[in-house]
Amino acid sequence: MDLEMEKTGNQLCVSIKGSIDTITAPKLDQTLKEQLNDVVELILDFSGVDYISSAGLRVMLTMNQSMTDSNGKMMLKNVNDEVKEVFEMTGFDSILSFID
Amino acid sequence: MTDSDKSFQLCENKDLVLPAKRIAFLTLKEWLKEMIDELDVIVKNQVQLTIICDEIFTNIVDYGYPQGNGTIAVSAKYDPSKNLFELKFVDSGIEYNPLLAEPPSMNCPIEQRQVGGLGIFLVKKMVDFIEYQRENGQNILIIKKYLIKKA
Repeated sequence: MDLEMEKTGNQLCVSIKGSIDTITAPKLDQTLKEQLNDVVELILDFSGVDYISSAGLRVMLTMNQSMTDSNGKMMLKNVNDEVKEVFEMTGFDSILSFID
Repeated sequence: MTDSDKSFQLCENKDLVLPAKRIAFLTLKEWLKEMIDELDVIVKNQVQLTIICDEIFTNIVDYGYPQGNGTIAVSAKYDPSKNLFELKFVDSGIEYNPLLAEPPSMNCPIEQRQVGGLGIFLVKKMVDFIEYQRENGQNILIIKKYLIKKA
């Protein structure tokens, strides 16, 4: 998994490329936590994500909660059909915010 | 030998024994990808089988071998007449039937849910058959999934 980050003011956009799985999820979790200090809007670009497993879902849940707790918001964009289906199966689609 | 027989044989012969370490999932993933590429199935099937392997393998590493010592054997079969793919996971770790794991409560707010049960929940959603056996001190988990060939 590769991450590309672009910060504009209080907005952080992270492009994720690869899989968010049992191996890569801890790295994503740690990297995002290190970057979130003054971030109000976190955008995760999923255009390069081929799949997400439960380890990745856990990261999405904690990041989303962390942003909500600090009165910020997290949004996912460019989520492909296969990844979207995993969010739908688990009910995560009802809490996460998606943009095109 | 027909092409169909070859596919079956290909999977039948590809058994894998891995150390019970999370990092070994990378080897499992490559092994699976090689087989799935040969079968030429739709992307959704490829993705779901990879997630299934991730969840089951991680589960065995975490619950079967908390000390981190041991091995996990994985084997695959493919029946071309039914497009039915089978994966079998065998380990000699602590007795653990993942099918008895509490499913995540879908009624409480998602923020309060325990994410722990989500892995096996996902597996159950994605497979057509799942069975657990405890035999000769081994945990045996078998999943079967009907695949769809690319158009």
